[in-house]
Amino acid sequence: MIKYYCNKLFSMAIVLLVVTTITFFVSRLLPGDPTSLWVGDHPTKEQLENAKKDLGFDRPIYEQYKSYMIGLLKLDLGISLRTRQPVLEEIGKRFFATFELVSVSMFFAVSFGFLLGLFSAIKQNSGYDKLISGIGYIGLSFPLFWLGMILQLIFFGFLKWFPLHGRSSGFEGVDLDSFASTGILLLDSLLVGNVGLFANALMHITLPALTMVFGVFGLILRTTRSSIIETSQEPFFKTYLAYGVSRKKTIWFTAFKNTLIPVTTVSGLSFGLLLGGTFLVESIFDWPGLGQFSVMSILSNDFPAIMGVTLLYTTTYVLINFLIDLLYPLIDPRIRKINV
Amino acid sequence: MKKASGAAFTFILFVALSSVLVQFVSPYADDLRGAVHLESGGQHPSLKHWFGTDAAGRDLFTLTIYAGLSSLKVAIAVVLLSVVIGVPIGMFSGVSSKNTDEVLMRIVDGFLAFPPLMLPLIITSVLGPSLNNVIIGISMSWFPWYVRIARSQAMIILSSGYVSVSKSMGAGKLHIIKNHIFPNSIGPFLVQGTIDAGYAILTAAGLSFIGLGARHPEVEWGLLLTQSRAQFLNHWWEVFFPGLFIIFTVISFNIIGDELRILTNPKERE
Amino acid sequence: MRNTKLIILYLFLSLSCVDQVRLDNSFIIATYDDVKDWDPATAFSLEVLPMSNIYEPLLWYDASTDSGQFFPGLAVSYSKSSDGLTWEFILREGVSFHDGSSFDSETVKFVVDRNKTMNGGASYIWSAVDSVLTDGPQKVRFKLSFPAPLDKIVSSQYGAWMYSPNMVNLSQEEKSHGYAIGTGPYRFKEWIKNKHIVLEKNINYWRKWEKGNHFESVIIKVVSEASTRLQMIEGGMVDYALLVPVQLLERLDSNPLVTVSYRPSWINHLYLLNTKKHPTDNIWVRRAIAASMDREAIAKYVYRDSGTEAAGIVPKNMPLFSPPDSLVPFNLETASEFLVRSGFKNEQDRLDISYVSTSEEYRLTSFHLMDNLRKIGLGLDLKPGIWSMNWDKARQIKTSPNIISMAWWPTLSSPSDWFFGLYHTEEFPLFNLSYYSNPVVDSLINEGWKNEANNPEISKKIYTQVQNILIGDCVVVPTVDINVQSVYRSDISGFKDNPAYSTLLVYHLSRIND
Repeated sequence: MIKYYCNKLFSMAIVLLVVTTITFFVSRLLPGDPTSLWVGDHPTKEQLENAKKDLGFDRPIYEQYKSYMIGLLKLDLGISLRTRQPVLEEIGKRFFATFELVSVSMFFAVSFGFLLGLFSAIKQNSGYDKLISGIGYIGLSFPLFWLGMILQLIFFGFLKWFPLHGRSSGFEGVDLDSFASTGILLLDSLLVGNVGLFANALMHITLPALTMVFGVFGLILRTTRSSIIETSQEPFFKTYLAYGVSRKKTIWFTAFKNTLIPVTTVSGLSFGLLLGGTFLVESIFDWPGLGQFSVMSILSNDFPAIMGVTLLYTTTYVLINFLIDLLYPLIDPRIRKINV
Repeated sequence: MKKASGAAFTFILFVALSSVLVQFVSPYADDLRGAVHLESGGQHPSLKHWFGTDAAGRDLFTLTIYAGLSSLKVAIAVVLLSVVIGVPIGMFSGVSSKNTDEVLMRIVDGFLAFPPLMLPLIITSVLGPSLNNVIIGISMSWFPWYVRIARSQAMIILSSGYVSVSKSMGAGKLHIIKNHIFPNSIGPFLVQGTIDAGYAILTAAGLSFIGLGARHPEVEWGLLLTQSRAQFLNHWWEVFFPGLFIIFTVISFNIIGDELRILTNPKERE
Repeated sequence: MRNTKLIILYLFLSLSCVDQVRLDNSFIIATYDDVKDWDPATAFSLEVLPMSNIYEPLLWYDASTDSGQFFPGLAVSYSKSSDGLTWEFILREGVSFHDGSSFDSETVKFVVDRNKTMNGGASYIWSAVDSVLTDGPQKVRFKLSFPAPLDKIVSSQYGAWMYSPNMVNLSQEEKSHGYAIGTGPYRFKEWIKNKHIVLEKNINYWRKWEKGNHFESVIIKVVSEASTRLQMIEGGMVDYALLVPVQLLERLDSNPLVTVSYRPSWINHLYLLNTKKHPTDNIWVRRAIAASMDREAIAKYVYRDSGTEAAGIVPKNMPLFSPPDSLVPFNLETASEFLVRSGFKNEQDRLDISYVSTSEEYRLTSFHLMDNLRKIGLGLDLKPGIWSMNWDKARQIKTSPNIISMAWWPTLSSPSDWFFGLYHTEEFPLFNLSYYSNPVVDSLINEGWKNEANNPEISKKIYTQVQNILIGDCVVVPTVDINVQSVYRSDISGFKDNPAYSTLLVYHLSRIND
């Protein structure tokens, strides 16, 4: 067992090394000289040249790589050329915004996906089944940015029910910094008892989360549904039926345990999709998270920032998959017994 | 499923044919080459302009239909490129020694650790914005999937009977790949490729949306959507129609892919 | 369905955030970004909003009338010597800073000397000043190295504020929380980074608070999301919103509680043509490009209320502006002839244009230009991007584009600001992205600027001459003079249309009570 985990850990480390190296060399190939980003308006020639030296861009590329990797070990991710703040700080600020969005979306995607998948399986081949499965199927073919814009059009443009973008509306009389405990607006507002702010944050997160959920819940729905249907072909299932237990009840009893593995697997995949979705969804909804920051950094050739966000994204993704790998033996006793 | 895949295939055919024909048939064909009519910008759908006009006064119907060509081109190119790069590497890895295989697989895992869209984003911005670079960018990020598939196909077939016979007769790696593995693994590639075609279109549209893909006067659905952003709240048609086409095209590829999966693997149940 | 109930809940809760009645008498502004630099000597951007309410200049320039007039600020009168090299200002008596210290001639000397050495932001406006002498607490004498229009300089929008010398003694720690000690109607109270700036009434303000309707405080909120700024002003949470996107303005048309108006500014949009890069190094190619730009259509359909057709290289409402002989008129046949005259044969050679990707106006203008050039046989590649990237590429001749979009507005109330900034020979390219170098123009610009104080009519003629040369050499294609939007609650009055200052002077505003 321990061997299994150690192997996984080791693979994870190697993967991260590969990722860092790929990103470093690819991003260094970016055309143009981002030094001017750093220097800002009205620089003189000397200022530009000094900046280049300060930022270390005049050294050979292998030296730059070495010093970057050493910096990584000290958790020094450099300074963003665009915002002039330490990359670690920038990422830290925005991490929780993305975390909030992705967690909320993940939660609803899994719950809706699972429940609707269950419902479809129970009502297999009925009109409901076809409709729900259809919607789930279509969801994966939707361009996220289009869906986001359509939701904005309908719910902000026509109906005026929800705000257009952003995370909160600069709420009157609240100093967010004073209780920035979790960095998650929805939680923080409740912790302080500010219902107005909570409602406001809820309003703001609805459309972006809806966009993300719609794209992904279909995957979980289909997996749940097909896994339940498969289970219903198993002999033990038929036994239950023979004993007079209704089909509906049987599915309810057996659903969770039997779908746990496939749904867990596909949740990992869905999480990856959600992470990938943050780039577009955050840009459309002006959500102050990592996705928007990444896009801006990439568009402005901000090397250190690009490296920072890439590392964070890939580490998160790899970690989540690692955690899921950890879960398998716990869920499925069969794996526990196999010494991988 | 048959009816659906029939409809899907017809739709893709429609997109392909109409996108080619529209250049010759539409009275607004000049819009495809960069013509703008500032005085008729932002008109809602009417008999004159079936899908309305965009902010520059171009006929949205003509643009939307023609954009299908870019997307189909991207879809085919990305799949072909990914297959051409990924499959040989995967097959090689599958028949190689454990160490070579391990090393190659770790590198592949590295590529796959990037969340979707991130690597194409970075690569395309390095190469410079253009539809061709989008193709390269996406292929560079996706070929590892084909490495994996090819590798597992190679390993499955490698352990089958007649290959061992071939080996005992002294057949080299290349021979085995060429004569045994490749012909028997077309199925999974076909299925994955078709489904990937759809996602390539989505990814390319996403990149164009950010500004790293197609550029005016090129016409592409994602580009049309990003161009609509300044006034889309007042001009719903600029968002609605291009997106609709993306959805239908991607769904069609998915349906066809599913059908192919059933066809090539008789054991598959829905 | 479950979703409907949730929606109703959201609606109910959201209503509680809207239309809050504000009991305090504060003027609240929603802006899009925060202050970066609290030093009034070098601040060069959004800082103007709080600073123009905290500090004051020696003179104010009112550009809302045709001739333009100077009004007393911290100086009550001034005079200059006949050669224009010595200026004397009589300062207002009894003015004190927010910390109680007095404002006098020593302050003026300190500020000007310091600004000159700071050499950042707009401090270059003082470059004509050789020395500052005090003659008693109420008299200041400036000695200039050449006869520059010092009255325009001391009334500049940036870099001309009078601030307390005590500010430089503050510690880094104190400065990090924001700081400002001025003489103006409002004093600095607090700054929470990326959240808000609070200014409160300066009870001892020398202009006094006669009208009962002045605002007690000014709150500048940083709201980076445009639609949130819109919602805040719709709901009455703010009185003034900056930069509301055009597509959201339509909603306000039917709302009597919010007023949208446009006021003239000194901003214009231009397209610089690269005179050193093939094929725009050929003057007839440049003329062909200029003749392909339909200014009228662009102003009418692309800019609409936010711009008027340019009449010159400098906005038509600038003091000392007079129109050049003519801008290159829009005519595709003429453009075609120009192209033939240029001898440009190679269809493979394409031009490129760089513009700011987030601007819809630049995008549509570039599409329009591309279309017209296509019709006469010139290929144009569009290269939108972020300004810093565009600028970086443009400053190196190898990567610079043939055409680049540019918005310009002056620091000094003079057309020379354009000429110095954009067309003066630059050894090391900063904003002269046409790479234009003409010694005749260089000396004319200097001459024009030197004559502004004593012989404005001569300057006017010179500036017209400069424009004619620039148009003759086809260095730039101006498109539109910009009108800036003002979005405010309808119950606020007192706004003045003064393009010399792109800021709000809250002292003059009041809320109309029913």
